[in-house]
Amino acid sequence: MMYVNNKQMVLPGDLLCTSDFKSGDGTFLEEDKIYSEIVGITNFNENQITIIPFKNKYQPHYGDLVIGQITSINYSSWYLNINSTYSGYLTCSELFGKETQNLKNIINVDDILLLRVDYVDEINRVKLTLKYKGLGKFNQGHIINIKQPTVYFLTEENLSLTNMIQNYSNTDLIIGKNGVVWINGSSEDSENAIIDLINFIDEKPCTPSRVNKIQEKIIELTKE
Amino acid sequence: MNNEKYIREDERTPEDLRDIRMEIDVLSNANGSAYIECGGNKIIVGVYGPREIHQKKYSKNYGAVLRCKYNMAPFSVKQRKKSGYDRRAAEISKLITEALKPCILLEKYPRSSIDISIEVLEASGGTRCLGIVGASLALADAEIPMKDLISACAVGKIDDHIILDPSEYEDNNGQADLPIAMMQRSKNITLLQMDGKLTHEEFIRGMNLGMKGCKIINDMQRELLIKKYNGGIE
Repeated sequence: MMYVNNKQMVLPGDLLCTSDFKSGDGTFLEEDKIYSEIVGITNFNENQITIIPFKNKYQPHYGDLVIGQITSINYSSWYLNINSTYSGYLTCSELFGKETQNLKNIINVDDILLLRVDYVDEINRVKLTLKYKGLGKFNQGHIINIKQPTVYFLTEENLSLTNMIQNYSNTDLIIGKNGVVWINGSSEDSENAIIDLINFIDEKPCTPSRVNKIQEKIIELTKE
Repeated sequence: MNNEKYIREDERTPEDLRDIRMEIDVLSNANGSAYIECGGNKIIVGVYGPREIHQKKYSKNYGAVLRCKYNMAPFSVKQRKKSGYDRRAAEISKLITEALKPCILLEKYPRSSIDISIEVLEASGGTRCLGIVGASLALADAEIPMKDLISACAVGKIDDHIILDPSEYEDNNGQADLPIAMMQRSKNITLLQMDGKLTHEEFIRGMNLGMKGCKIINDMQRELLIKKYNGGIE
């Protein structure tokens, strides 16, 4: 049974629902009732409830697509900053076998990579992987940071909007679940225009009325 | 006790709180921050965390380590206070850490630390309670998982009257001082201290008055958070 509506703002300690639902990110279970633990917006799926935070708090889960930047190199692994409280690690067995190689020649500090989260253990060490299609190091393009409501808005609710941006302006756009976006355009001007557009979307959490404004903005920027 | 007709030195009734002004997200370098003005008090709180601890000797595998530091600036009081960490600041830091611990879900962040820094820029009675109120807002601003918002309020006794939220004059010339901090939803009390002398009956009355004051402050905290995000999605 739900005690609040979908897409309603809640504060820490607010009662959300009974334990018919599964408690997802941003909620905790106490005595058969689910409460909110952060300031955010409720998001009910068929059997799970999560809270979308207003700023950029990100919890890594299995299978998430993330964009990370290398911070340090160990003798057999790289450590990455994935815009979360914990840093992820990438073992060298993802890339080559038993031959010893110099890790710095392949992937160096400050490189930016597209990865998937492979495993998060009980003490929150985050293992990342490159073994899926399309993952690897970025050689060009720009990176910007966005907040979590925008990530949710662009990836789950309005996929058509993301496709629209890519088609209308001939740029590639990859949105990482951890709040990092990679943009690669044919020219500097088109990249700057897309960056302005994404900052516009990022300013406030979105409603259907704002979607229309965004669509108008996309159409007008491709006319330039 | 004729509480109804007693007017205090600053023209408040015994059950009036001072005007409080609260703001959050005032520091850009901290993960969460809050600023509180109340009476003559000005307190700023910054929260850093959760951050990974790399030295094994400080980190705990079962949860985050909460560290809280209360500090008064040398210019915050009438007679210049020597800068540095003294015994009173050490005691209040420990109290505030223990008051905030029950409401933070520390198990969700093993091997990390949450650092809270409370700086008193101007002091005028009741800084430890306002520090807890500010820390609770700053933790909510930093999106650290909490079971509830904590609010705190002090109760005093002057001229044999039980009063809510003593000012600096009432604190210095009063007969008792009773700071209370509590979690609103479960009515659990996390900080309870007493200086001075109260009879059993006065203590019960003071506690009830303090809990009423905590409820008023909690409503103000909730109103501030909702207003900051305009009720969520427009």
